[in-house]
Amino acid sequence: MYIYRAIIDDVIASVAVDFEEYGMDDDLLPMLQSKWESKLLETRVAEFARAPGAEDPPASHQREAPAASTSAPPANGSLATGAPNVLMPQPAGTPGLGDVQVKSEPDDVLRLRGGSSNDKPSPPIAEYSAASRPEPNAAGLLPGDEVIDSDLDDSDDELGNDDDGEDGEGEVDIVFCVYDKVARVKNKWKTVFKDGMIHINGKDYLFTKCQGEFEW
Amino acid sequence: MAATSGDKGTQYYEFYRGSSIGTALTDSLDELITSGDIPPQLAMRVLQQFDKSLTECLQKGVKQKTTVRGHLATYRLCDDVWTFVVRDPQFRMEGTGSSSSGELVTAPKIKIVACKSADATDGRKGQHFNK
Repeated sequence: MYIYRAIIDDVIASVAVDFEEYGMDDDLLPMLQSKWESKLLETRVAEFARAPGAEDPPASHQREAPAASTSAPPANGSLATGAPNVLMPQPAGTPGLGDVQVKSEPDDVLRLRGGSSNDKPSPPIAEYSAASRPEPNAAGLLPGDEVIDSDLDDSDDELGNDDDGEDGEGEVDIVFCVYDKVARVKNKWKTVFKDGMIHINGKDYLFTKCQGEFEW
Repeated sequence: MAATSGDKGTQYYEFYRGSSIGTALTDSLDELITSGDIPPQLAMRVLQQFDKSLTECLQKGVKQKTTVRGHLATYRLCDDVWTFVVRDPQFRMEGTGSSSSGELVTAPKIKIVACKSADATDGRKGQHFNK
């Protein structure tokens, strides 16, 4: 989704001056961008992977190789090409990636790491992270990572939501938007939403306008 | 809903941080803070910039229109934030992806969190506030 590309680029470009003011190392901003992009890629919420060229080929290649063991190495490769920094310093990094991956079982589209779908239960997270990155206590860090995120993240970030297939999960599907108008006549509701991000069935859709009609 | 005050006095909502792209960013920032690479204040600054960039990109870059129908399970208006829980929502995504006319997307349930838009004309003053 090119909008995501635009958002990331705009944020990164805009905060460059702040990173400078804070006296950050030059590689930190690219590192942030890499982390951000990898995490977003792993959610597979959109065809975002098409944008950064380096990461596209591995993604499509990945789809053909469903086995977890097969997929881990290429995934690493794609990260390495796209973002060398990501691999280096990341104490909390591994669990974070693990999280995203687990939550993102959903669609087959853009399976950056085909293996993830096979690793449904949480143990495999540790396995995976251990395999792909040298991370001592990945499993141990996982819960802590969740806690840090808390808040709104829970809705689409919970480990419990791995089994995307079933949509029964509480608030996995969510829309963030603003409203222009909310009107009700008896039990009929009509709404006009704008500037929204729909997260549904593991995918993201954006809209400039959304008209809603509901019955209560 | 809390809003970030941007430059020129413009306000940007923070709640989009809960979206996929926002979560990916906050997770990344969390990692960098935890590892001691960046101070929390800088992370806050990045998030504020995110609020601004995202809002502007949504407003300027997105053309898709959609409709949604469904059964309203719950509704709530609090501090100018509407929250709807819609059962069996049917989204008609116009002109998305490869689909021709409009992709129909359904789910058992969806939550809609809507902050007041800058030019919301009604729905404010509580005239639609249901007891």
